[in-house]
Amino acid sequence: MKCSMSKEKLVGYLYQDMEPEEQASIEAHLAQCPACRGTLEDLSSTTEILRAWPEEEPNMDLTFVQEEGSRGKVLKRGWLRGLLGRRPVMGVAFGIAAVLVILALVNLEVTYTQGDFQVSMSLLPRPRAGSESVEDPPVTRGEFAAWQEESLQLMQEVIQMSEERQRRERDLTLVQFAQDLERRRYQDLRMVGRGLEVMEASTEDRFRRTGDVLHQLLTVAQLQMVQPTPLQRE
Amino acid sequence: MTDDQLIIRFLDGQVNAFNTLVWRWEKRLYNFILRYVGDREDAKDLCQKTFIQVYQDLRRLRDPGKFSTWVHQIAVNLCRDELRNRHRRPMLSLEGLQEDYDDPSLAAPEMAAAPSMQPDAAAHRRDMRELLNAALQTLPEEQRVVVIMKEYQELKFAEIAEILGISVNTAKSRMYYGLGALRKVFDQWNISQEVLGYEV
Repeated sequence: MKCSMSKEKLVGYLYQDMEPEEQASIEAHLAQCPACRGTLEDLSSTTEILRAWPEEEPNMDLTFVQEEGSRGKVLKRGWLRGLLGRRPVMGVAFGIAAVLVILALVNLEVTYTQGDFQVSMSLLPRPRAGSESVEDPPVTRGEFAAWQEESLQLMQEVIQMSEERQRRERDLTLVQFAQDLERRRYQDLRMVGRGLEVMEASTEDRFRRTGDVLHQLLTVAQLQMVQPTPLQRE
Repeated sequence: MTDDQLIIRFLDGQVNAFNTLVWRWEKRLYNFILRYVGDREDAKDLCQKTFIQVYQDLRRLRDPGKFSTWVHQIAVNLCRDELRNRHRRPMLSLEGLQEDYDDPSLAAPEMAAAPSMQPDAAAHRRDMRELLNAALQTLPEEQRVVVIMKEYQELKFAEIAEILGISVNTAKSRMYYGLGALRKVFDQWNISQEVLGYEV
């Protein structure tokens, strides 16, 4: 600020957080001081930008609970988050360990017969293969053709999904590229602006110096006319 | 029911009154700490620690009407401890920035740090949050805390001064310089109200 208005008063006025008797004097000053008005405008626009960050949800579910038989109280987060911890890696590790334990507890049996995989799980051991015989019915040509057509459809869907994803990624890249270009354009314009300012300042300086030199020359010439040289007298 | 009444009920032995207080203050305190330290996980931890300390020391609070000031003081102290223990973040020196747009230090962080670039409004808002977070973290701590308390917590300068143990004029002065520094950062990163309002 280039005047006597203090920055504290300006900030107080911006937030209407000041002594009541100060408001009138500040407003009177602002009415006459464009510099302070400009500063106030800059401060105000900065606060507007800050307000683009709204409050976020903490998602913590903090709860104080009473422990039985004890005076102490424990702060628990939402039980699942507390169980898994705040690091997702620990949660994943715990999940994998749980899966492994469950698998170890059941009897897992995988069989392959006539082109089909069969997976079976149970808590009790299954009777060995061969103690009971299961005949698979023969596959007809019609069933095979239907299966083939279904497989083709699935493949086409997968290909379409892949193309869709590639199209989206290409669009995202174009948007990012456009934004990068825009940012660089602003930066280029700023640089050009600064360059022009420097050039203008340099040109002004040169003109001023040239003017000084001319002035000196004129002064010398005038002096010579008023006081002719000894040679001319003769 | 006001905070004062909840505190009195808690001191009478009703734990649920304290839980109500926690749920009432959770979001506000979390956002204050988040903007102060700049990291969501740290903010959750510090918010939890703040409430634990509040729970432990609430009986020492003589005036329940000063609960807001008191809980902010606890949060500020914990945040300062956290920042002291943490490795210093590289602070952007605006005077030292070169006018070379190939210099990666000049680049606004949103392009590198944005979790996604999906052309939708939600992603744009997410990117803006990260930008503003990064901009706030460029401020010196003493200016940042005043800006956050005034702009986001909407505290009066007198309250801010009491929480931080400074004068009202000092609080206003730090606010002035903090906003000025943010203005320069926003200009450098091309953040403006037009950009914020841009919906892809």
